[in-house]
Amino acid sequence: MTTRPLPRQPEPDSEPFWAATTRHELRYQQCRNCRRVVFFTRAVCPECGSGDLELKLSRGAGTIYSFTVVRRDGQPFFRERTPYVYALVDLDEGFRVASEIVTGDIDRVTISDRVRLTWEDHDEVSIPLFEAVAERES
Amino acid sequence: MTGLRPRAAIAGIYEYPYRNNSSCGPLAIKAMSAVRALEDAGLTLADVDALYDAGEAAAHPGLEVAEYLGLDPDVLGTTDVGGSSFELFAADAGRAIAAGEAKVALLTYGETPRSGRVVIPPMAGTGRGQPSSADNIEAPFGMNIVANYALVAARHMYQYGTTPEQLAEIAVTTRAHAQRNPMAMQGLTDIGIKHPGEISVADVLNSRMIADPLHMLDCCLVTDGGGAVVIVAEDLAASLPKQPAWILGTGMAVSYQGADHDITVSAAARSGPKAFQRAGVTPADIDVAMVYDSFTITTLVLLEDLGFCAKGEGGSYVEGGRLRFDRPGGPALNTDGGGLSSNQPGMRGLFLLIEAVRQLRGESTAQVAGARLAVAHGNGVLLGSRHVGGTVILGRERP
Repeated sequence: MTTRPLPRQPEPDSEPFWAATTRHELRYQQCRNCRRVVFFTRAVCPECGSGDLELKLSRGAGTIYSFTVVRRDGQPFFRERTPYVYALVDLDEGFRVASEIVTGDIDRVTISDRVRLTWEDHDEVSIPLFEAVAERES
Repeated sequence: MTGLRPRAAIAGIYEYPYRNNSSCGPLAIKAMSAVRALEDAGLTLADVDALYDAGEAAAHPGLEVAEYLGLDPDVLGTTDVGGSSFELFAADAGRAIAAGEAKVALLTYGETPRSGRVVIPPMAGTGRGQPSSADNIEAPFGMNIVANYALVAARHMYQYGTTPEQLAEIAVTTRAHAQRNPMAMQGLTDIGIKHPGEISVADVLNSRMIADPLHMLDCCLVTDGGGAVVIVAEDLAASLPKQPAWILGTGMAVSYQGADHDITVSAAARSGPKAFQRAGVTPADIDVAMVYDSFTITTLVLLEDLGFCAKGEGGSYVEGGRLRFDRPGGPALNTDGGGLSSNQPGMRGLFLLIEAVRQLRGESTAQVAGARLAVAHGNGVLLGSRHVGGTVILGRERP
């Protein structure tokens, strides 16, 4: 049984992001000075240079910006997982994440689909994944 | 034109011929290529006063190459932005020459992923070096290189109606060019390609899907390879044994992910116009387009962004073999066979310069009659997330 590659810690910039995942919270930043939404988490606002960045909580609702069905991968965990859906998701709060779309039907995934957060738990972190909104409601 | 003086020209080139040969390591490939490219320029190692190295072959970029070759450079440039590093080096060398700090600049490249002496670096976050926040937040989701570019292809299809058949046209055209290049054909055989002959659009679509919508034949080869380029100041140009390829204009830009970022637009949309403006020419003037082809989608996006056609129209633009070396209506594309059908050891930017120079000398195996102007555009790192575009415009006539 192989396991998903996990973030390497310690890494100070992403530590607050990953620490929040253990509480099933998807965190992003917003600059208190210029209000710019920032992702990935970092120490300096890329808009105004301010170091005053607030760690905010996302509702976890978003839209698929683009995706691919990965059918070949050399990494052991993902090789076993193929075919899987790797995607860019635009969160409603205005930031974009790379993630995986968890679905029972990879042929039904399309760009602009609405998706929401779902979690895969590990010992030290939880991994934020997404699933189609319609699938869960049906 | 920006009027940098003295002008710089590419005076020497060499391409290491082997695609699958474990008898020669990366540093040796770089060193042998350096000697050959200097010979091509009528120069020797003792003439080199500027050295450019992306660090692919040794731990400390520039240092080990200088030591291996016994060089004493006055200028050392060690940018590593993947495949576009060499376009940035050409620009750097031009500036060092214009500033009077160098007269003979040497660029070398060598990697051997095919024969296995060098392992292709793992994807972000999977083990090597200091992790970054970006790596750490992207690592757990199964992104591989093909998947990264597939995101761009899928979005391009969604926004503009581009088809898999249109992407395939790029692979078909460059495979046709490879048929004329003996080094490419030997390489295809040496790396075990079962059908090294011409391919059709249907062949591409019938090849194995790797990451939708990119098939096996939408992806570049993985080969050993290397080479060298020598750039000289214009006061040396009179004594050159070969036709110089003048550096007319250069430009670079970076691109990275963001909430409002359109991934169908690359850094070339900004590096290209800078280079064309500095060269005082337009895309319509270009005879030969050496455009990075890690994947078919890479080339499609770059052709649009460089201004050969409007954004979103790349699909129809590449149809019907328009970019074959012997067809009117557009520049000749990747006439050596490109990374799709000749060689791709990991950072292909050097070969873009080399083949552009061959064309301007009249030495290409898919020669465009009377080629006067060429563009080389490298795209380094990952088209779908973060990358650097480097554009170099080369010409036969002294500016």
